[in-house]
Amino acid sequence: MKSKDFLLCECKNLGLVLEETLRYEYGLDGSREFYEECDARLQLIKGELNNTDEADSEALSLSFYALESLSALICRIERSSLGEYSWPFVEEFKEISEAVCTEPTSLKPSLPPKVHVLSEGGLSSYQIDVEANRSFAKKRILTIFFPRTLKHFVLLHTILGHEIGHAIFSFPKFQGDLTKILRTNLIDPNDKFCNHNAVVDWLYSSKAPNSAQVYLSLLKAEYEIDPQNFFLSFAEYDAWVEEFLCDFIGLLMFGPSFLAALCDLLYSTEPSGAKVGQEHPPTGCRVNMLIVAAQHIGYDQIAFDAETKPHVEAFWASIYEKRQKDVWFDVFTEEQIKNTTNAIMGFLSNHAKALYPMPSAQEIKPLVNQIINQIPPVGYRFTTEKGPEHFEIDFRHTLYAGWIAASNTQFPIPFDTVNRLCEHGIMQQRAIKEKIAYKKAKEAKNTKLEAKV
Amino acid sequence: MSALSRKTIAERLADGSLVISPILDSEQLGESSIDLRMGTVVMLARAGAQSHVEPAAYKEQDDHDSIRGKQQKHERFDIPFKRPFLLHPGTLALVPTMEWVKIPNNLQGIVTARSSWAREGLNIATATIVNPGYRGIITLELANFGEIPITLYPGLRLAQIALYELTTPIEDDQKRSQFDMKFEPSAGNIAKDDYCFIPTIKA
Repeated sequence: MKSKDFLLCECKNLGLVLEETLRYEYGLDGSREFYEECDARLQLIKGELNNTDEADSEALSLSFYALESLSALICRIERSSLGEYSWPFVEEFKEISEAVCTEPTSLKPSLPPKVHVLSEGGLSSYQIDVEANRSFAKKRILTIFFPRTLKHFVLLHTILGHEIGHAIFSFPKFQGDLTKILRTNLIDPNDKFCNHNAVVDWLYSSKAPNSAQVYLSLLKAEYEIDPQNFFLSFAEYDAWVEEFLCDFIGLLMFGPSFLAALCDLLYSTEPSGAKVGQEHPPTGCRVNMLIVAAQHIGYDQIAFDAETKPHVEAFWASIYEKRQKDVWFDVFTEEQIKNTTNAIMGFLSNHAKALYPMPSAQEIKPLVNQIINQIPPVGYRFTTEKGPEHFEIDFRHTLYAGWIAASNTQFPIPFDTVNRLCEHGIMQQRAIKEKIAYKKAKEAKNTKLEAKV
Repeated sequence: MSALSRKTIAERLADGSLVISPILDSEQLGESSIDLRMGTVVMLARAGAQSHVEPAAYKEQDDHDSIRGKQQKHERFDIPFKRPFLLHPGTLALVPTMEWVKIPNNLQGIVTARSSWAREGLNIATATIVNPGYRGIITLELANFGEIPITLYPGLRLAQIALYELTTPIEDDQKRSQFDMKFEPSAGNIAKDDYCFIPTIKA
């Protein structure tokens, strides 16, 4: 068979697979948009192929890769199942990611991406794929990966704030602005992180903690990595910087819950906090930096009453415990962290819902009490005078309340139970949201009618 | 045992000694009952999974076969709000309530179908007793006794719970039921504590 015919045959196969995906429910919004987007891409590739000369190997090769990436996407869609991830969390998270990742395209001045959700693997599976190469695509498809094992662990899902940071950074439109923010506020004025050499000097300094020195000597022994080739043959300086940026974005998007999730997830893989990765700076540096940022924002300054205060203090104590005491981990000054936090806050405030709204004690306290009493946390109260009353609650407040309740030592509740209570609460809050929206729409309609009369 | 009136139910909801959360509408409170809404999960017996219900398949110590039997017994559907679920005639579906319930030690709940739904053929297969001290969602065993399918949407008020005061409250440390702190329906163990009456089936 000739190459062109073979690829056209693959187009036909792909069309059949695409039809088969419609056997399943793979998203809350149904399958139409995914189907139409994938079908449009397939038709474009087919059209290109039909117009390609058999001898044009470069064009045939391009079509081959386009078909490959489309097949991978369709298979992902087929593997996604509503029952394998927490849809109440996903629904809320989608609203944020769609708002943040809306971008101008040749078709529309602002086009939100289509969000697709997949669950696989375990603790380190959190990821967001942004489709870097979008030839033949009309709409960007964001694929959010949740760990299959952590289906109900909504408190840990806040780590996706970091992943959405990577997604935002991959958009050329935002990359320039964010790089400028980092350069101006965090990197250039810093003596430890201003360039490759400075980082290497800091890493290999005699003041580095023993655990860091052990990792570096292992790198030397196993891969011959030394100060001279650290950034040439092993680590990526830009990736490290991007990690810090995404941590700031995660914190500003999910508040204290993000910091707690990051500590739990990262320290579980590497308790010393000193290990260096190819794309990741030491965990201890990230945690120390985020604690300063959280304190600067004032998350730990909310004044709670005597009943809730001990629980909140227990939460923050558990966070401060994760702070590395060795000053080697403090790679940025307080001033640099504050300035960067303010600048990224300014950037995110341009996107609706992206910034975590500063909670009040009045919002958090009833949610914490509900969880401690083993009731899903929702904006609901019942009094004999007024009957049932409902309040809008940002799902990120529910998660913060969950972390506070999980840290309380007075009435200990298993972590998995707290997560399930919060997940159930987020689902119930959606029902309250529907109810409030319906009521408002009805009132608006009545007012309009009255005005007409 | 005496049934709780609307006023007493409201008082107990307000002082927190009874929890049914959240109640979305004051109309959910009847004269001596509270309406319950459909939750967002449906468990349906999977066609072809089992030839019959066999108590002997429930073993005291779970092994591959018994776990497989349990896992394959039902097909689980997540049904978000505003999405339909079609209940066909003769089908039994396990559905959680949207509300979370905490019954105090001196009350017992009885769950039945709302009469308007029962008239359409939708029934709760048995009047479910909710034990004193229970915490969690309530599982509704829905069956369509009519002749045509019924579309259900999460959030609809399908059932109602009436509450009765016990002559003597249960003790705090009394054994919790196998369904305590449930977030969604699951099959029960029909052989639990009755193994002495069940012959051992050889594989």
